[in-house]
Amino acid sequence: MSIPVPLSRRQLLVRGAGLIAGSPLMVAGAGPSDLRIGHLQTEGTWNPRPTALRRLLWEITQRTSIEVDLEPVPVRPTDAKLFRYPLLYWGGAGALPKLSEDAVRALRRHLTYGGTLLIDSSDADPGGVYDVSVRRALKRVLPRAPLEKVPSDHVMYKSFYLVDHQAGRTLRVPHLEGIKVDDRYAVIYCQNDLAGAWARDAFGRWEFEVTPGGERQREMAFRLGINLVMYALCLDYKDDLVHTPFILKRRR
Amino acid sequence: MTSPLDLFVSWLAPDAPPGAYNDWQLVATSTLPQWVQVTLLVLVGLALVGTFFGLSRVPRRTRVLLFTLRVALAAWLFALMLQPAVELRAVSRVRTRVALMVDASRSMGLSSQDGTRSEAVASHLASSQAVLSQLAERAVVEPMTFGERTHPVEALPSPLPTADARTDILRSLSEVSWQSSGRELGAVILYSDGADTEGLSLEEARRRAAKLGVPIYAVGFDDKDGSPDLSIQRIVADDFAFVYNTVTLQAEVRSFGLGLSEVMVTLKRDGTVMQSKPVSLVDGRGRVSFEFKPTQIGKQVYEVSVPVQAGEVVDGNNNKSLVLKVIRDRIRVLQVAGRPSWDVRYLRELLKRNPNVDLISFFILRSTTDLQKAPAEELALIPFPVNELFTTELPSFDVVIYQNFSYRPYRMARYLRNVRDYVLKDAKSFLMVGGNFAFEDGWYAGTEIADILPVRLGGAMPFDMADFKPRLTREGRRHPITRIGEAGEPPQAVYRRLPPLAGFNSSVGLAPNSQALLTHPSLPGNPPVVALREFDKGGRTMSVATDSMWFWRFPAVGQGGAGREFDRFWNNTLRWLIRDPALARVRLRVDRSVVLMGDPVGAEIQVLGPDYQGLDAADVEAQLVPVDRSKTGSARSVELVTNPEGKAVLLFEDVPPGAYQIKVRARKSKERIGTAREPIIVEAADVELAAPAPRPDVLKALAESSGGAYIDIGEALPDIDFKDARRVEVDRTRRIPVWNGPLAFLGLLVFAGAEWWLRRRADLL
Repeated sequence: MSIPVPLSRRQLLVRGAGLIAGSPLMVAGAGPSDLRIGHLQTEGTWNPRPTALRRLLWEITQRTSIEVDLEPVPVRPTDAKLFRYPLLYWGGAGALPKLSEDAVRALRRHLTYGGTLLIDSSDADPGGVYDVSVRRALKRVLPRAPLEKVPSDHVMYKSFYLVDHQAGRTLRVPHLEGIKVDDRYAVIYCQNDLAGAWARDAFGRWEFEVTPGGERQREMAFRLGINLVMYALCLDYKDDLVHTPFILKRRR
Repeated sequence: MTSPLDLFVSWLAPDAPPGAYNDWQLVATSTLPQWVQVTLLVLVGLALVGTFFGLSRVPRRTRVLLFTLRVALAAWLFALMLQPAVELRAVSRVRTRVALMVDASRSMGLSSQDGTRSEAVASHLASSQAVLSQLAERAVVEPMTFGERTHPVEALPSPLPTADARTDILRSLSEVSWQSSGRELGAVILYSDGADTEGLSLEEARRRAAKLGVPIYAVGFDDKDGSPDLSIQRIVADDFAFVYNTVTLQAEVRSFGLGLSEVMVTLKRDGTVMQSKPVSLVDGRGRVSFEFKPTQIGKQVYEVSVPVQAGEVVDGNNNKSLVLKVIRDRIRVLQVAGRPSWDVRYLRELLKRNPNVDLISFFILRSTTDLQKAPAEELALIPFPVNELFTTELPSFDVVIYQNFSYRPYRMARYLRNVRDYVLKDAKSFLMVGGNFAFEDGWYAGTEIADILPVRLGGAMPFDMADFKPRLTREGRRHPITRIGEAGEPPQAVYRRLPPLAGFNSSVGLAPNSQALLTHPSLPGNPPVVALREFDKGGRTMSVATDSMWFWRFPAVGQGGAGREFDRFWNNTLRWLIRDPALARVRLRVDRSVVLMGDPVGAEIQVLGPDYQGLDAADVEAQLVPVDRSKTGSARSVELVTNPEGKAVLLFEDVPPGAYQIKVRARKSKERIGTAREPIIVEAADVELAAPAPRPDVLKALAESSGGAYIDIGEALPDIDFKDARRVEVDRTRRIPVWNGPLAFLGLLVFAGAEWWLRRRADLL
């Protein structure tokens, strides 16, 4: 749905204050229901792309009606505030130290009761040390549910954009993987370094080359990222019957 | 001349006066137990078998003679053992009875060519006195009136009654056949118009008449004998229907004596005309079908009517009503969200999980102020179907939820009136959930939506981002929506242990007829967080002035809970919004939805306390309100007080025909507990007058199948033919023993002597 939303007096004042503060990134309020991404903080390299999430959130606020807090919040699995963040992002590179039992239990509870975990491999190395250690960790967190390939017609590929192929800094793996809990993907695992495509430095320069697709592939990485966030917020909304004829028509 | 019987009697009982006995029979007077008699019989039989084999070497002719004599001797001995006697009897034959049945139902009070039908019957009976008197010499004539059942009388009253509310000919005939004064039923004389109210078919009439076994002489009326009438014979529809699904209602029309070939049939719902259709009448009968889609849940009154014609004998049967219970297939919920958020997601997830909910969600995913970095064909977005949703489709929803949604960007101002009417007129439910696009920040102050919200807008404080723990109000402690704790947990305790909420849409206060269940604990005036409002027609609205209810779902899990409080809160909310009867504290149960004119209109009211136990001494105001006030007069009211079980019985007497709503409102002290309503129909015409035309075909079927005759009321009563009774009455008896006389001894001597002589002659001694 694409209809202009005029600003209320209050929103206008808030945004005005943001402009006065000199940062357009401050315009978004952080209401209780706004999107805040919890950036999962574990041992090892948990934040190899420090600017990426902020950039994704900026794109989300620019392109969608989702209200966001532009600053992802680092959160440890055992933090009491973990459950303030239904959407967790877990990036990483290299070997991932073993999670503690408390961390495993907390993550299991988070995912079982409605949380979503987006795992992004900066190594983009299927079968590499990061991949192996992530799979080992997931087997402990959700031992009864295996990682599986996300079907290409799944709603996460049409939750906002119509996405029909993978994206990221690389294209090493032609699909996403995920773990289902109660018919929804509670874990989504990307091995194409999405954050590498999103990362942009303070001077506005992209931090990494995107291959082989170049800037179109980077755009697709943003679209996929937005779709994954939209999926966490709306679940199977775009599978509702009312959307089907429109989507089918556009996909022909 | 002396008869052989008289000679026989005088020989056996010389002292008996002549003619004292007119019948006799042989009886056994032995007092030996039956088992002794059987044993002796067996022994005699065995002895005869032994005799038979003992004679095997005797010549055949002699053997047969000897064995015959031995059998005769044994039989004679056994007969003597039974001590036979001749019973002389004085008997008289019982006279047959003939039932004289006269129809005393209300249809007999209708006009015929000669006064009323019952007057015509009285006249016919008077002119048939000679036949009846002659009949009375041969049989006992038993007069009775009948309607739903028989009423035996000493003599037929004058004038003949016409008060019975139903006519059940078969039941009455069955009662006549069983009624016994020791006399056999010989025949039935039946005076009736044949207008049976129990759906008697000709086949059934023939079958039962043949089974009765006696002739029926039926005196009836020609079916062209006056009584012009146009009526709705019956309405056929299912007992219940699903809302927004097509319902077919069929009506049968009958015209009699009016010469109509077509008539206009009208269907009304709750007094409002829905459809009219012309119906062709063939042989005075026609059938019409109405199809419609009910748009409201609950019981509704549907009435089918035909216009009253000049000269009709009964005009009360020109309409017929039924109460149709309309139920929902699934609860249809429209969730419109101003943007995706966690609050939206968890509510949607809960509603989607509920198998009883048909959820239609619309989330605003993008505004045009957002950057458009992709052509439309690369987006999965669809237009927001504002017009369709808020005009044609709106009534199909049971609940509409605006969740952090502002109407202004979508040029929806003109549809807000529809939403208000949806609540006020269609009695549906509306829920507004907070966020910075809701309430004041959604520009709802001064709109039609503000008219129905439970909170007042205009000048409220800005959207407050601070954390708060809502405070349970006095009403909230009792209300089912806010009872979300574990079993046995005090209502207040659950709100203390749940995570604090954040983000609050303030308001100026409560709207009229609203109640707050949860309030803000610290803002000035403690504005409502959760508030409810009910409207006269049953519409309900609710406000949840925060978009952080999801804190009770997910962050609560982080505190060791399971989010069940969130689920309970919204499930309770949904049940309250759809007026789930299980949550009603005022319950109304009518005895019958359709009441015959003259019968009282009764209902039982139950008022429940906050704990859902019966509430003692609650004040109940009950009203009987006509659906169409112009036809049935003004409303009636009655004040009641509940008993310790929370119950009160409601009774309205002498209610004119028509469709009504029973409305009850309950209070306890100053607390308004709730309301309830039920439709009820008082039928103008009783069943007796619903199809009052004479049915000579029924009477003919009865008469012909029973071997009797049908007589038109204008013809004379013929001689009544019936079989004389077989039954007799015994006045006195006298027993003369015949086993202890010389004849008995002589018999023994003859048989024994003959055998001795024969054996001697055959050299067997």
